[in-house]
Amino acid sequence: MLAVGQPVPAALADAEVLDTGGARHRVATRWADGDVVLVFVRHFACAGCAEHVAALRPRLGELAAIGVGVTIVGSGNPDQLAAFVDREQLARPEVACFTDPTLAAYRASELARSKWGTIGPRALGQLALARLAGFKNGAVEGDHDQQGGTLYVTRAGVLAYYHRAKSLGDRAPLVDVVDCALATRAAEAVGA
Amino acid sequence: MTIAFHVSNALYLISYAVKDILWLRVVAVVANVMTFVAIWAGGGASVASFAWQTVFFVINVARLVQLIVERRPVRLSPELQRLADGAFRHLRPRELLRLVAAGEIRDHEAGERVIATGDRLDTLALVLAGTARVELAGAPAPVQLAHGAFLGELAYLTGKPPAADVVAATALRVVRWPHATLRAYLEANPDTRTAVQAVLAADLATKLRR
Repeated sequence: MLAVGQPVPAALADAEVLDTGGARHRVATRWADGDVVLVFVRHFACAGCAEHVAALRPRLGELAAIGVGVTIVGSGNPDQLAAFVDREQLARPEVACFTDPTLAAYRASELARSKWGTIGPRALGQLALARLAGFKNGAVEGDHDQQGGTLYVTRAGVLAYYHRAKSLGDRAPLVDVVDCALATRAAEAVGA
Repeated sequence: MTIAFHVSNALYLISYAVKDILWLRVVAVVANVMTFVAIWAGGGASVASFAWQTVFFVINVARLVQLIVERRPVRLSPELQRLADGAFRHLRPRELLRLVAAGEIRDHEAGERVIATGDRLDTLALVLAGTARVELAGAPAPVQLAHGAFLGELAYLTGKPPAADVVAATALRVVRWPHATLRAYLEANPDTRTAVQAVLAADLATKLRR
């Protein structure tokens, strides 16, 4: 697990992810101009991840207003990423979406890898709840066994928040992520 | 006994078919009463049956009273109505009332210092009426804060002492919450926490632009 308050590991900063056109981007470019919430989703057709994105969507404007960007990283191919962006209505300035087909960024983030977290009883219960809420699970578009996670990285490259999901429906409470963003940006406003 | 028994079960059937939770409770309570009648008319049922029916009845009546109370219209004071129409528009009026009730109302006279630079500040305040003036050393002009603005929010968010004086520019009324009280309240009320975060974010965005 990564340590909050410490610089992001070089392996994560230097990892390369792809955009919808297949162009490579260093992950560190995401926080070069400002704080960023880095959200790793399991795979692009995962119901739990769609549910996560749906919860995140209404808070994007609020985060953008205080200068915090959101970057979503999955693990399918660029075509699957493009379909995900379209399906989840993420073609908007407050959020950027990438894919990490080599899993380099995911591994450097030290997120969980678990079959039990994907097909265990807790995961199946979460999947059932997601289905009831209208989120469908499609064929795997990326890495099946990786679990998601949420990192808040300041523009100085320091990790301010870290959530490592244990199963497909496990996600960082958004109120905690927004609290972290408010505290971090307020500290900048007072020059702390 | 048979008629009362069938009527009570028919009422339970109707209660399950009703969509509105208030009417579901009303019909269920009537069904409960008919069950008691059936038990009485039948010469008494088992103690266990009577006890379970009593438990259902008490729970239904308690929830019914709660629903009726929650559905009564909420009357807000003009100051709170402005909050409900403005910064706190995403919060239901009853939630806004509860949030304000968790704090204390304070009145300040014009010219009174509300927040002093460098002092330990353990409360967050929200302007309900009047205007406050932020006096920051080196700033070209004082910033005026009016209805719906937070006072001391940077200290609340960062835990650092305030970097500016805040003075009541006019007669000023605020609601203020001790930090620990507010955090505990927001932890227990996620919808209110989300609404307060939105207002804090809007305030912070304005400060970051200055």
